[in-house]
Amino acid sequence: MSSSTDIEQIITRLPTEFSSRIYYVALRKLRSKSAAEDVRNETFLRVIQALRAGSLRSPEALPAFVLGIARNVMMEEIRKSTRTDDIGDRDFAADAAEPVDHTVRRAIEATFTRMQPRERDILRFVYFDDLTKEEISERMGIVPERVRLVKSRALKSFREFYWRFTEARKK
Amino acid sequence: MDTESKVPAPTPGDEKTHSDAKSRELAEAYVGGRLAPAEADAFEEHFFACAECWDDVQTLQKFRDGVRDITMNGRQEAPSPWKWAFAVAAVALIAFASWTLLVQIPRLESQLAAARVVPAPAPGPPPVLMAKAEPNLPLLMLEASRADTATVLSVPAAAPRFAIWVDAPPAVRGPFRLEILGGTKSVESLAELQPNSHGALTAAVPSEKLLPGKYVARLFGAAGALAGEYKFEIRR
Repeated sequence: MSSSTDIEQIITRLPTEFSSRIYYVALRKLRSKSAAEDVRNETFLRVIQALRAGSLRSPEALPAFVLGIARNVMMEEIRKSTRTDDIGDRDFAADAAEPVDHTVRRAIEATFTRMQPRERDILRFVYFDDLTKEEISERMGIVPERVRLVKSRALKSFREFYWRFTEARKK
Repeated sequence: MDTESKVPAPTPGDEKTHSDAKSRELAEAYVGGRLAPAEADAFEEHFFACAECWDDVQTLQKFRDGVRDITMNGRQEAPSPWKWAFAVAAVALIAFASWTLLVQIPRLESQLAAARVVPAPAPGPPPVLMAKAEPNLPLLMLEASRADTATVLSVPAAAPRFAIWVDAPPAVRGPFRLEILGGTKSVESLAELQPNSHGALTAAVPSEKLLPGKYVARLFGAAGALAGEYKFEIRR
């Protein structure tokens, strides 16, 4: 498909473009940070071997190609852990989510200060209680569109604060 | 928030998937674990190729985790100016209360205790004008006597006052009042008399109040009972 130079350029960009995506998907499935890191490393090794072997049809197919290999590695990891690990050695991480870092927390708090108490209630119903828009609108006596607007505004505010606090930490 | 935005731009087919993902809020459903496995797989394939949807996934995951964390562990809001003002007022109030409790109240209590020990002065002039040590002050010593004799005191014309001395009856409680009568008319009343260290009642009387003549002095005790009667005569 591509010249060896193009392949090497793709290989150079691989970690930047896919590292956190692979880790995130693996962490959701395996619920173990160490297993997710293993999956990421093994995926990169196999992707690089496959690229050098000329297995990629086109550059546009690269994301699906990387995800496909990552899924294979994850399946192997699941099989391996259920077959060989003693139950006492298993890494039972309780939650796939990363611990909330200080910047995220600050951005959430800053976002909350911009919102009315009822709007904060809506956000808790959405992201803590996992209620649907329809359930929230029924419970609070508001139209579903209002729930969507509150979420949209909160996320916009959160992005702004998160970016601002992240930049401030870099300085 | 996007750390991996250099993935190739979506193809026309991907555009349809992208608009579908946006309109159906698939990123939120995926992060919340509400997609069916086949839908979740399809959306993963999409955000592996779509920088915007991957950014949405990251943002929503952080936001969701943050809201859950704050809901479970409580907020730690940055103090507002009003909170600062409230804090300053609270500190001032505590300082004032401490000062009142530790300084002001003990001081007032000690003042009150002192006020209780020292009797307040009676209003008006002292009832007993006991003369200080004055040289050549004429002294009238009153003695009870059944005889119809009167103690005579010669008061020099230059003496502005003379002293009266009378032994306090031991069976009668003070304070005493000495009433001086000229005939039937009271010419002087000396109240609130207390025995001195010699057990005597003393008082100073202005000479001008008692003109030469005969007088009767009646001594009354605390209950107003007559404790003694003394006759005397003033001469110049």
